[in-house]
Amino acid sequence: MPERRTLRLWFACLCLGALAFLASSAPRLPLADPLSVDLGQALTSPSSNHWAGSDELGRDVVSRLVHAARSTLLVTAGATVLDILLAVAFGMLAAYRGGMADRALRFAIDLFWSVPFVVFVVLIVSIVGVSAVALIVTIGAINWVTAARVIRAETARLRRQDFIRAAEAFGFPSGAILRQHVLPNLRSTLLTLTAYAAIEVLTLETGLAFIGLSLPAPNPTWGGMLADGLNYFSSAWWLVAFPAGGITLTLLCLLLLARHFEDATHSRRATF
Amino acid sequence: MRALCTRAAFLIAAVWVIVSIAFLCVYALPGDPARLVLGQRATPEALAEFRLRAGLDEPLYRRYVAFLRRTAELDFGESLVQRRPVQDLILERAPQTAGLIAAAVASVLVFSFVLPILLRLLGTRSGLRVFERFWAGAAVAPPYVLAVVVLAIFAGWLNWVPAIFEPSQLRSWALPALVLAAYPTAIVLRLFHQQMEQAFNSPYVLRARAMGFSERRILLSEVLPNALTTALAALANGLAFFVTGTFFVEVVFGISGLGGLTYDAIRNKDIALLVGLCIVFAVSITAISVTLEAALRFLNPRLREAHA
Repeated sequence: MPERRTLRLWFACLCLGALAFLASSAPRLPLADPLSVDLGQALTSPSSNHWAGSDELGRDVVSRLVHAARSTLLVTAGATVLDILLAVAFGMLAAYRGGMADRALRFAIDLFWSVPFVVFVVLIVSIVGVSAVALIVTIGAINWVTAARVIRAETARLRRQDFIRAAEAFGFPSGAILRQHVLPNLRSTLLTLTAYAAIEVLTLETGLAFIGLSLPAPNPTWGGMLADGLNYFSSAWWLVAFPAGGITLTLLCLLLLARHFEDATHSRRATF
Repeated sequence: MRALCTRAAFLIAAVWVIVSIAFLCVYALPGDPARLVLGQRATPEALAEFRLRAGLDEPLYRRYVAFLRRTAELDFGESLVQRRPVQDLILERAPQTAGLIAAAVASVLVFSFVLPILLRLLGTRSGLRVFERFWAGAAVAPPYVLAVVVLAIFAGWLNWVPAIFEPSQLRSWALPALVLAAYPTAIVLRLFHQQMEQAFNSPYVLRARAMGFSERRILLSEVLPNALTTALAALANGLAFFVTGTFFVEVVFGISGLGGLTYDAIRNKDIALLVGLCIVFAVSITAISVTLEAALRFLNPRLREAHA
């Protein structure tokens, strides 16, 4: 019997893998058209015909969920990658250069720690209009600070260790040291940070879609589907249950992953 | 004292950054600011008048100064849809949001501090763990999912609470407050529990036990002062969460506070209102969190050095 820890990891990987597969191959799967309206089939409960029921326009909920996963995962992945790249760049720069760069980052961290920049994501996206690029850039731009803070601290800690000092004494250029010595040692930290960043980004992206800042209709998004389901919460439970379940399950898997990597670095962080 | 001045300077800098970002959002992003603020159906005369009044033909820095001055006077212009000054709308709706946040903070305090202390005084340990698991489970779902699911279960299926929010009824407030409190509770509770256990295993509690203090006295006078401050600091740091949380909770439960107002502003593309709301939200949260942080540092000397 494998450990519970391993089981959790497998569960998370399996679910996320299945989700990624479904999302990437959605157009080739034998699914109903997510956009085809059939008012005769409106609001039918789950059956062999519609596994997760149909919505107020008779569209298949399973098919819509799978197609919605495409845009949701695209934005989540894009913003997470941007987020981590910015965090690595600024975090390492601050820790390695010190001086002005470090002070600037410290001020940025302080600022992001107390100012709720989320409201500006709402403002900017409302002004420039919703698109995958706008979402990725704005979400990525406000989320990197938490990760940068951790990377800065870790890089500074590594820099004081003997093997880095030896490399410096040998006169290796900073870039090479960072790439060959610091980065490999940050691997589990980076994995943890990526998983946490993905959680934050997904929560934010779905939340924005929920309050109406989703990719233009009729293309489905998870948050948009949940918001539509809210109108029928007393009559059609499946319109609430399946999007809510999908969002929560994905977040749970990411959380399990994050915890797993975190245990590997022997640190637990308490964040909001 | 010097630390206080630094915090005050930081607060001023933060407010300046907030207002500047709001300005840049409206005037520096692609698009015609006059159309943005007045909407797509504005007449050419109205657009021309707005351009003149907002000084759109003037250089950017002059407009920036004018924007700063108007914001300092709390003049955010007029709402596009409601045809009323933005500041009046915000003042009118703010009490509901403040009430919701206060109720949520109160339930966080009850569930993550009062109940664990009571459970500890009663001597049950497993109870606290189960309780912690429950909140951790609830916190996996983001607030909007949790709010929709809770509403569907308690109002749609069980019919325990009315589906329409009624501000005068006390029980209408229970669900929104609990939903909003779920995530902070999970985190603060875990942290507090952890800190409490750590304190109970520390040498100074051993000393107190050796001197024959009662368990109750050990808990109240030795353990709590140490365990409380860290958890309270975590709560103060999480204030921003309450704001984003109220957005969703108000929309789902139909509470007509600032979150509901924001939702309407987004739907109607009411940019003037949205800018005002963003500034008010950002500045008030920043002010509160900076003040709380300073207060906590004052209370707990260890935090003064810990923050590096």
